Amino acid sequence: MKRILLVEDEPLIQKSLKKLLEKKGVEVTVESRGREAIQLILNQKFDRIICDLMLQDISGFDVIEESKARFTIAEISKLFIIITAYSSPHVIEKAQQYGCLLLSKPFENIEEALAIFLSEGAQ
Amino acid sequence: MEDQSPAGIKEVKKYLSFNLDELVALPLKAKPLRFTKSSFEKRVFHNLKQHSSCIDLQKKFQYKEEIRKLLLTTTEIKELPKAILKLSPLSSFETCHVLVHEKGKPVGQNYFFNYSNYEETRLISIQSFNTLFNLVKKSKNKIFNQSLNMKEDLDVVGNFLAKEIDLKNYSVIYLISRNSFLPPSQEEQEFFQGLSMHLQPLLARILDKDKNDLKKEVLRKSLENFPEKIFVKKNQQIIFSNHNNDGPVENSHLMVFPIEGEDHTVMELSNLSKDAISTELYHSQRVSLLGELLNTLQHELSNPLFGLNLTGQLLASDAPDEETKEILNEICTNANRSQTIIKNFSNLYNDQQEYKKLQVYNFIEEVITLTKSETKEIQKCIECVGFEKTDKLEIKTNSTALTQIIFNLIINAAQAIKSNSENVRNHKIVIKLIREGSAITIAVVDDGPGVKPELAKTIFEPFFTTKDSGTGLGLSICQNLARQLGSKIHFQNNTPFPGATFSLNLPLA
Repeated sequence: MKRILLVEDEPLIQKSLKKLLEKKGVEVTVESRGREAIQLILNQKFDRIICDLMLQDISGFDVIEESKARFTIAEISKLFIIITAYSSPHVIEKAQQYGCLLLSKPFENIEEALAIFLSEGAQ
Repeated sequence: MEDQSPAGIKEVKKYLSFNLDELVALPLKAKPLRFTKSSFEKRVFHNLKQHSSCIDLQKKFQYKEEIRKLLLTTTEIKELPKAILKLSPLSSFETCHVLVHEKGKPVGQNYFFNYSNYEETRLISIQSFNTLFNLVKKSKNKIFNQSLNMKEDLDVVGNFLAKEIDLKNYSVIYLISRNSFLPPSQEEQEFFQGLSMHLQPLLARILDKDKNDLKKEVLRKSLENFPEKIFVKKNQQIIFSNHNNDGPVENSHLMVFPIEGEDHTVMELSNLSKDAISTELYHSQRVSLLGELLNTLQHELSNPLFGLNLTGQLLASDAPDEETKEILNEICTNANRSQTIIKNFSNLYNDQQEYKKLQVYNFIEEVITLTKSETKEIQKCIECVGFEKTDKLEIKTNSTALTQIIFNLIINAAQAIKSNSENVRNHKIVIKLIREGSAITIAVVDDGPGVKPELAKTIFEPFFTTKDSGTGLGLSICQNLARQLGSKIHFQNNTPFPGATFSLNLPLA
């Protein structure tokens, strides 16, 4: 686990998570807009993409959908981890369709959350 | 009987000197004309009969009096044709029509009476009505004959007399016929035409009354068909109801409206039928709106609060000194607390139909948090009776409804305390949780002034309030909500110390 892309538009969460992850010794790229995130995903190599769902321009699911241009479903399910404050049944179901792990904000235990982000390939 | 006559007789003499036109023009309410029944009048007529020249005058008085009678006794338009035919100057006529058209309406009414006592009301087309009306209006002698092509509308044979009356909202034609070609006499014509000036105010009065009656009828119909039970009571007696078969409903289900301008008269509206509408509908709409609002709020606040918490934790772990670390931890704690509060809010206002298990003690704690701003400075505590807080007793209920109830009861308690005391710090609200076998009683106990005994029966009634700004719906809604939960709110004043206790009993899960 070397490079992580964090797509999150809430500045405090973005900055803190970046710091916390960097402390664990990984390189973190942050992005708050969905469209820019897609470009990064298509053109750069990341070992993990942590993606918020409610972005200012498009939704996190759109970002994942666009990533299909480069990745298979199987790859996507391991690459992406969705973080959201709107964990409605509908959202959970959709995340399951991509096979992605979903973490609800606020995280109950930050250390656990960090561990999940750093794990090699989520289930 | 010249100049020494008493004033009354002078008056009569004055009237006797009038000709018919002048007599007809006399105001009807003028008292001196009401003398037909008096012995005085009989005496006058008796004297008059001695002189044949006075017979005409006597007749005119009789006619005048008959018209008065007609005007006094006719209250409905359909009685008018019969009344007109009864007038003795028109005694040789057999049929009478009164045609009425309310301006702007597509049809007119045709009221008919004939001397075989046949009475009928039918409709007349506006075309026929207008044709006749204009014809009558233009005619000078007001004599017509059946050559007019109106056989369908008019039951006349031969000549007839007709006169039009134009009112503000109505056009009226009255016509009489003796069903022969014998022309009416001059006297009859004069009388007939003179009648119109008396009929005019009468018609204006009774036609508008008919219109008002129609309005009342429409109103009555709509009340009768109203889906909820309605009782109109005067002095506690039911004078109108749209549910004849059922008895009166319980007081606590009623909305009561006084009727303006009617003393001791109220309209009672049952607001609890099968579907339980009115206040409950209003309330449930409000709650679901609040639920949506809180959901949005939760989501919108959740993110930044989480950010605050994360940042705080991060900075705290890197803090250069203990004081900074403490402050940062404080920020985290507060952000967390805010998050919990907003989350609990929206949990409390979730799906209104959902029944779920909840821990009584925690639940009450959360509701108390909700009431914080209203109960500021008043002490609040939860007392467990028959169990320990650590027992984590659960009930299965609808948290939205129960929150509403307890929330309202606590707010009411706080307001009662505030209304009665300057120093609210000395007061407290106790929420007692009493375990009774497989059930639990939740009681909200305050040490305010309590409820005046004479008001105790009415406090659950809708629109009952002792507060200036109250809607009077709080307790009645609570009672309805409690009923939905299969319970009932009981009230009693505390003894020996003042205050009130509102309680409800719920089964444990």
